[in-house]
Amino acid sequence: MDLVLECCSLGFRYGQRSILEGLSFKVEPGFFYALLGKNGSGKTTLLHCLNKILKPTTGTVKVMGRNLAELSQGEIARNISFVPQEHMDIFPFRVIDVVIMGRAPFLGMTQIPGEKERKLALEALRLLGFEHLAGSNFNRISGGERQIAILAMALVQAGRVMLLDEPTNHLDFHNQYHLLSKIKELCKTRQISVVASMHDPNMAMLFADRIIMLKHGRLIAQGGLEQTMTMANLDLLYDTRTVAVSSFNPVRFFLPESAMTAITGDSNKE
Amino acid sequence: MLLRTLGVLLFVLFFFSLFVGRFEISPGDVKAMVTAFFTGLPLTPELVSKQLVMVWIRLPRCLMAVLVGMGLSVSGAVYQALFRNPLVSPDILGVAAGCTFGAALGLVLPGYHFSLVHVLSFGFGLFAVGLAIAIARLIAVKPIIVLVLSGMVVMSFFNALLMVLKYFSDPFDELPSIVFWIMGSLARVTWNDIFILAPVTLLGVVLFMIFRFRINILSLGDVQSKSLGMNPGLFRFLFIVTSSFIVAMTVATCGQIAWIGLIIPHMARTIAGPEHERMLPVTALLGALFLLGADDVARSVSTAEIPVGIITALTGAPIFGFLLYRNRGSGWI
Amino acid sequence: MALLHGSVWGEGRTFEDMAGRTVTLTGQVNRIVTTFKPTTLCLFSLGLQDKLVGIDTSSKRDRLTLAVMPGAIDLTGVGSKSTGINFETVTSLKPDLVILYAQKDGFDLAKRLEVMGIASIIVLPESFESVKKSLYLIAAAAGEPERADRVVRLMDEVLLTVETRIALLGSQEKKSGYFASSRGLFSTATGSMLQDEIFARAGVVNVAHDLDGYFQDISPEQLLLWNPDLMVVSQHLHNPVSKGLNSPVVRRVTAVARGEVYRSPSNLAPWDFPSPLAVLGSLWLAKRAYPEQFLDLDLIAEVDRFHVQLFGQSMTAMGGRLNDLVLDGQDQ
Repeated sequence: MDLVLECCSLGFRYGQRSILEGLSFKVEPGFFYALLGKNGSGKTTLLHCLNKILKPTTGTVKVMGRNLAELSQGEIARNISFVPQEHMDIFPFRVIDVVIMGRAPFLGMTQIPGEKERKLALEALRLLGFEHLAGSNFNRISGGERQIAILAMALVQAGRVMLLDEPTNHLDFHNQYHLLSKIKELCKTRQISVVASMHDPNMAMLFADRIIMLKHGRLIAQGGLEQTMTMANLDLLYDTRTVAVSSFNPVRFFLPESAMTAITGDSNKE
Repeated sequence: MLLRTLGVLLFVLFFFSLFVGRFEISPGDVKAMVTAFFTGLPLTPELVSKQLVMVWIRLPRCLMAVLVGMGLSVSGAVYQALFRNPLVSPDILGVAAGCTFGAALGLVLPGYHFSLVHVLSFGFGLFAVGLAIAIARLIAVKPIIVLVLSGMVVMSFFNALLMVLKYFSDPFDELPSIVFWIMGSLARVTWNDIFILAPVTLLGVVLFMIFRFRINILSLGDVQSKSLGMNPGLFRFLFIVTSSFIVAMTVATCGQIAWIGLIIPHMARTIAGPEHERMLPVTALLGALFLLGADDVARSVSTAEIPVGIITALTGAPIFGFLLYRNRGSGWI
Repeated sequence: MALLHGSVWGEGRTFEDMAGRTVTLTGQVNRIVTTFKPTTLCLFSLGLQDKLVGIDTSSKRDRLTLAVMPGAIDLTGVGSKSTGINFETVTSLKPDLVILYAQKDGFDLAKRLEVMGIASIIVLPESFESVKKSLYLIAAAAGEPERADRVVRLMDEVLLTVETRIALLGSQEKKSGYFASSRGLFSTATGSMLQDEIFARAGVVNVAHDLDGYFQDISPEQLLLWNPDLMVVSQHLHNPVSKGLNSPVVRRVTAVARGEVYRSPSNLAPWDFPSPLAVLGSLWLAKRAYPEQFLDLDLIAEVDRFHVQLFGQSMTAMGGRLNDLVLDGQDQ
């Protein structure tokens, strides 16, 4: 199986401070990788190194077998898309215009997007169930809706890899699950690999195929769910005592019904 | 549709503007001039004067208004996108202040080369921007904010130098002509100025036009730009250099003309929406229209010349206020 | 001619200055400070330079100043009209009399000087009339009013010379003129300015007479429309040829076409500036405009004589030249 992304001894220093050190992992096509860790563990920095927004100080990142350092930003953009955490106010673009910008890596430097790009953009919004947002002012919709719009933009960028930085941050209860299940679906149907940093290990349990655990910029575990999601690991990861709750326990925890299909229909967990 | 309308309006206004001025020139006179040109018949002395006025004063002046209006407004739009700030105008990096100082230096120096003032003005304008960029590079944090701040530093520095110059070398109060630079005027425009300014402005505007979709992406910020495959630093540098050339050339020729770079982009956004593919051409046409109209007023209101900067400021400020009010809910002013 | 109502009480002199202030001076005036160029020139004309202890900075290195008062270079400069007067410097000179300008900080300075017990007068020399009045005021304040009488008489003599000769001209024969200030070829003197009066006394009509206020900018079109018979350019306008005299439109102006473009003399001190020398401006212009009426008049001789009477030396002896040609390649 061809590796989509591969990290070898990736390290990043900011001045004297070491943010990431000795990270090595592989990303295979069609899988959902959850990047777990506390705030400040270097999750965002790692994601930025994976599409050359930041240049690693040591080690290499390879996409489709080619070293990122030798690729131009444009070539990288045609393979990897990125959804950031924060969305600042910008010009009052309409959502559809923002999504269309996702086609930029495929347009000539002086080319203006046309009907083809518009259709692709609408398609992406439709896929996420949010085509009613198309004409809305980006600055006036809710934080969660902006997240969807940016996700649609990343979708329309249609790369092999989607990097997501805390994608469920601004979403409400229902939409968190909705979004993640849609993303999971895309992994399967389009063979896109997703690397998403998440703050909730339970979400990761429900949707991810593989886990990458980051503490103080170092990998403490990676692999399938069974081998990584242990109490010991989670204790270490979050510096808290964690308890695994199974379905036999009288304590209940709640999920939207629509999420059940994603969970029960999934056979890719190791 | 909108573009076509604006284009036609500009054409009409340009034609109309050719007939604005102290000299009475009627369309009939123009017809006579054109006929004479083709038939080779001589003109009456009166018509000769009118022809000279038309060809050597009005035509270059109106053309300059169009060029400067386009150049300044498009530069302003690009700067607002680059700096992600609606209050930014093209002289934010100190171009205009540098130019004004250079002009003053040229006025005061004993050398008599005819273009000394222009050359010094242009040179110092570019130097000022270069200085601002260099300072920003040195500080090397948060590129956008630091650029704005170093621009302020450079601007204040050159304004201070200007005052020093005035203090030490102005016994007969000659440098009040510096007021001309500060308020801007199209009254002294010659064909020579057009030949120098037109290529720079047109090339610059065309450059911005062909990249106008990319400007949208740059306005999303550096992280987003990079993840969409662009090199924001390179584009920023290219755009700043281009814009600086346009503005420096403009100030060196006509002095500082206020408000065009700031309000025209807002007007264009209000009419055509914020996407630069649509809005940038509208900006160019609106800028040309506005300055042409303002200059028409400046030269017809009284016998004396009113600096066009007064007209643009008097009308520009209330219009800007109105636009701020009108767009207040859009989430970006 | 304004009469000065001064009263002498013992040694004191009381009069009204040009800002309407009542000023009383007692005792001798031996230390005078001037704060702007016209007053300095007036002071030199009155021959009171020996009493000068403080001078406006920009006059310190003027050719006329150095010729009339070589020691001026060692005087203390107190500032200038455009950039402000240094109050402390003025008071440190312990003057008996400070001569101020009616605008900018004039009033303010006068009040503060009063508090310190220093007498000051405010003058506003902007026309022939007000130049004369300023001369009277300064001389009276210095306790030597007869000096002003003398200078005014000399000025009137020159003006009379001009008046009598041009009186013979009919109104049809009057020429029109345009004045370009040091700010630029298209910055002209309005009807409210001294240059307009200099023109009028020389029998030349200022084309910009109907404009008001300080120097005004006009367009080349307007210049062509006015079409003056002659043009006078300020002594301190650098390189007017490059500034627009070459434009095809301006070349059609009668004055330019006939080569009747002159620079206002002299290189020693400007004659288009508020001072007693302004009368020479009228004399010079009248001769240029109506040479037939002045065939027997030797301009340089008259000018030299006037300078001797005012300053004790002739213009030529002081190194002065008319320096009034523009279009003969003799640009300076």
